[in-house]
Amino acid sequence: MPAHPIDFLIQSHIYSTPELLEIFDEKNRFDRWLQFEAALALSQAELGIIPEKAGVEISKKARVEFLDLARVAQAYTLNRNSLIPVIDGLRSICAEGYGEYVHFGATTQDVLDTAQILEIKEVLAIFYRDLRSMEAVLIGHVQQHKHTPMIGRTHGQQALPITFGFKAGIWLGEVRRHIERIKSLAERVLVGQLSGAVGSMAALGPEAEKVASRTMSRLGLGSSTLPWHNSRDNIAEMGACFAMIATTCEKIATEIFQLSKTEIAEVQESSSQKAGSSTMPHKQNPVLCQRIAVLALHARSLSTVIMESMLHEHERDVRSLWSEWLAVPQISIYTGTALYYMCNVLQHLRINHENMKRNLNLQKEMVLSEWLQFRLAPSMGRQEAQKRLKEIFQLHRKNGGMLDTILAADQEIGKILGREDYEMLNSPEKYVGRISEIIDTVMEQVTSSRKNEPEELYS
Amino acid sequence: MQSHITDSRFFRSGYATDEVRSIFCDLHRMQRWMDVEVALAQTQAKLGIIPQAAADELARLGQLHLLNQEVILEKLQTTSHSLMPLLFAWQQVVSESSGRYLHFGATTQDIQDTAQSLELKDVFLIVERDFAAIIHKLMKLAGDYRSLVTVGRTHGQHALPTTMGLKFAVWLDEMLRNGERIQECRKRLLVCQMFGGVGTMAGFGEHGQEILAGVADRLGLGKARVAWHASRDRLTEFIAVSGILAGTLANIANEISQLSRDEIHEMEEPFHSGKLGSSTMPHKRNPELCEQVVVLARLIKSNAMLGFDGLINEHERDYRAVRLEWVSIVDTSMFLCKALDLMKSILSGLIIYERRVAQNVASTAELTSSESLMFLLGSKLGNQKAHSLIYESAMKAHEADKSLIEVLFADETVSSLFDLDALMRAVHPENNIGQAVVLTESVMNSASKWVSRMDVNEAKTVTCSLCESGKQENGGAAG
Repeated sequence: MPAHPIDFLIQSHIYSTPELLEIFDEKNRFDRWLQFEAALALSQAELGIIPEKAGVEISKKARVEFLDLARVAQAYTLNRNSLIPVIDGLRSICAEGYGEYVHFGATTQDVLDTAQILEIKEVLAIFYRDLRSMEAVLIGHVQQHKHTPMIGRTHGQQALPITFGFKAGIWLGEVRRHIERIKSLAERVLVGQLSGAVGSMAALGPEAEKVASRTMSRLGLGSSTLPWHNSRDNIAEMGACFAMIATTCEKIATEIFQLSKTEIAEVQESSSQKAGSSTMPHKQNPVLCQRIAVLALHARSLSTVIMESMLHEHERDVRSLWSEWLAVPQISIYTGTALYYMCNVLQHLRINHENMKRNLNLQKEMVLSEWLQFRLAPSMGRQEAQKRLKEIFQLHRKNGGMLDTILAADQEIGKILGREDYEMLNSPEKYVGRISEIIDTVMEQVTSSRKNEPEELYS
Repeated sequence: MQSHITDSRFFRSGYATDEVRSIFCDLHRMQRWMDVEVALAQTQAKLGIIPQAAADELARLGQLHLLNQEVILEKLQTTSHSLMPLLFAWQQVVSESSGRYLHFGATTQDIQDTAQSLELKDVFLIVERDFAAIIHKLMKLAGDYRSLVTVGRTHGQHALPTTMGLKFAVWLDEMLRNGERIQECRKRLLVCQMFGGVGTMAGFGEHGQEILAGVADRLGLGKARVAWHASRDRLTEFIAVSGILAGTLANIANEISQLSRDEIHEMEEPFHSGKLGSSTMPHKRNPELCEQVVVLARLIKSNAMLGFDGLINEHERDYRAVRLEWVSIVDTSMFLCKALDLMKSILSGLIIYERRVAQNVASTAELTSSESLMFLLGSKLGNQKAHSLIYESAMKAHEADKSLIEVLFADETVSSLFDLDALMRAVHPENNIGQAVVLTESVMNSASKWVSRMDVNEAKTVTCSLCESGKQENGGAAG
C-alpha cells in the first residue's frame, strides 16, 4: 500500500530511480544498523572488552534476513525508541547469551547517524557518477555547437548573438563546480559517530577512542573523537549542496523549456516515450524538463528543513534527527532523480539550427546595436551615437522598412558607414566576441580536471 | 546614510512607494506609540482611574516634536529598552503629577502591538484602494478584448485557441478571491492589545475590560477577546495573504513579460520614450516593471516563512516574535504596496499587439485545433482511432514541414468520409474558442457586483508630516 509517490508501484519511478530507492529501502537501512553493531562487537572483541566469541556470534547474526521482522514490527507498536526493537531482534537470535554484548556502550543516535552516513556515502558516489556523465554529454554539445549561432537574451528579450556551445559551456562550468563540491563534501562528511549518550564516551571504557576508530574503519568511514550528535553542519552543507545540484538541473531544464516554446523552437526535449496530451493529439511536451523543475523545488525546501536541524538543543535533540530522517532520503532521491532526468534530456536534446538562425535574424540589424554604437562612437561620441540610434530604432519599430536604408539616409551616420559595415549588420553571427576563446578555456579546465580524477568517487 | 534599499534615495522607488514608507517612518512609529498612550490615559480618566487633568496634559504634550530626541536616542543605547526612553523624555516635559499616570498598568507590548495595528490600518487603506484600481483595469481589459482570439499554451507549447479576454478574466477572478481574502484578514487583524504584563489585565484593576474597549474605540480598532501577545496568527495570516496577493500579481507580470518576448510579442508593458533598456544595447525594450513585480513577490514569499516562525512563542510573551515582525511586517507591507502600484501602472498602459496575436494563432491554427478535428473525425471513426490518426499525421506534418490537413486528407479513410471544407472549417481558430466569451462575461458580472459592494475611497492617500525634518514644527500624528 504505497501512499507516497516516491514508492508508487504502478505509476512507478516518476519521482525516484530504482537505484536510489534501493539505498533507502527500510530493510537495507536495518541492515546498515546491524552492520554497525557487528563492526562494534568485532572491535570490542578484538580489544578484549567483550568475549571474542560474542564478537564472532554477533557479527554472524547481524543480517536483516535472520531477524524475525514480524516480531520487530510488533515491538515497534509498543516501543517508541527508533532502534531498540531491531537490537532486541538481534539479541534474541544470538546463541549462548552473547546477545547481551550487542550495542555495548553505544547510544541509539550513534547507530542512526553512522548508518545515515553510510547511505550518504552511496548517494555521493551516484551523484559523482551522474554529474560526470552529464559533464561528458555537455562536453559533446560544447564541441559540436561551438560555432552554432543563436541569439542571446536578457530580460527575456533578444540581446546579442552567442553560440549554443557557449550556453552549454556555462552549464558545463556549473556542473564541474558541483563535481568539485561533491569531492570536498566526501572528505568532510563521511565520518561516523560512536560517542555514547552525551558524547562523552562514558560507557565505552578506557579504550573508547580505539573502539570507535576500529569500528569506523571496519565500516569504511572516517572517525571523529569529537561527537557530532548535536553539531549538524556537515549534514546541512550536504543538504545545501544537493539543493544546488537540483537547482542547476532546474535552471538548465527551464532554459530548455523556454527555448522549446512554439514561437522559439530552438531546442526540443525528445525521448523514446510519448509525452503528448490526452486531448490535443498534436502536442510534443517538454515533460521531463518540467518534472526536473518540480523535483528541484522540493529539494530546495527540504534543504531548509535540514538547515534547521543545526538548531540542536543541548547534547542531543531528536527533533533534529527525526526531521533529517524525513528530509535526507527525500532530498537525495529527488536530487538524484532530477540528475538522472537531466542526463537523459541533455543526451537526447534536439537542436534546431534553422530556427536558431531564424530567430537570430528576426531583427538582425537591431541585435547588433551594441556593435553599431561602438562603430559610430569614434566619429560621433558614444553618448551621441547611443542617443541617435535609439531614436532611429524607435522610428524603425514604428514604421518598419530596412534598417540599413534608414541608416544610410541619416545625414551624419550615412557618411560614416561603408559597404563592409552594412555587410556586418547583415551577419549577426559574426558578432560573438571572444566566445571561441572562452569555450576553449572552459574545455581545457574541464578536460584536465577529468583527467586527474578517478572514474568512481571511491577508488 | 541610507543603507536599506527601501530607504535608498536613488533606488527606493523600485521597492516601496513614499506613501507606504511614510507609514513606517521611525518618527511616525514613535508618535503612534504616544497616540496609544494618550488613548489609554483618556480612557482611564473617563473611568475615573486617573485625573482628567493629567490625561489632558499628557494629550496636549503628546507630540514627538516637543520631546528631546537626543535624550531618547541616548537612553535607547543605555537601557536597551524600546519604549522606556520615549516615556522618560515625555515625562520630562509634563508636570510630575501628570507624568506619574503615563503608561498606567500597560505593558510595552500593549503599546507597540496596538500601534502596529494602526500602521496596518493605513496599509490596508493603500492596499484596498490600489486593489480596487487593478480590478477596474482588469475589467476594462477583459471587456475590451473579450473576443480577441489568441493561442492558448500549455507546457510552453501552442495548445488550443482561446481569447485574450478569458486570459484577463482568469486573472480577474483570482484577484476577486484575493479581495475576499483581504477583507477576511482585515476583520481579524486590526485589533487593539491592552492586557498588561502577562495578559491578565492585573495592572488595570477592575476596569480592564472597559479600558480595552475604550482604547479600541478611540483608536478605531477592534477589541480582541484575549491577549494576543504570544498568539500571532493574525500577523501570520496578513503576511500569508500578502504572499498570495503578490503571487497573483507576479503571475500576471510574468505572463506579460513572457508574451512580450521578441519571438512572441503579443503584449508589452508601458514604454515611454527615454526609458533605457540596456546600457550597451540601444535597441532593447525590457519588461522591467513586470520583472520588479516578480522580485517583490519573491521577497514577500520569503517573509511569509518568517510569519510562520513568528507563530512559535514561548510562555505568555516572547519578544522574539515581535522583533521578527518589526522587519517582516514592515518589509511585506512596503513590497506589497509597491507591487500593487507597479501593477496599476502596467495594466494602465498595457500594449496589446493585435496583429501579432493574430499571426501567432494563425501560425499553428490547424495543429491547435486538433481537438476539434479529433471530434469531427471521431464522429465517424471513434475518438481513439481519430486521436492516433491525428497524432501520427501531426508528427508527420511536423517532420516533413507540411500542412496537417494535407497529410490527413491524403489518408484514404479520411478523404472517403469527409470533404476538405469540413476539415478546414474545423480548424478555424474562431470556431474553436468554446465558451471563452461567455466565461469572460460571467467573471465580469461577478466583478461588477463585487465593485458595487466595495467601500473604497480611491482619492484617499496616506501621508506623514513628521517624515521630513523641515515639517516637524507642524507636529502631530498624520495619516
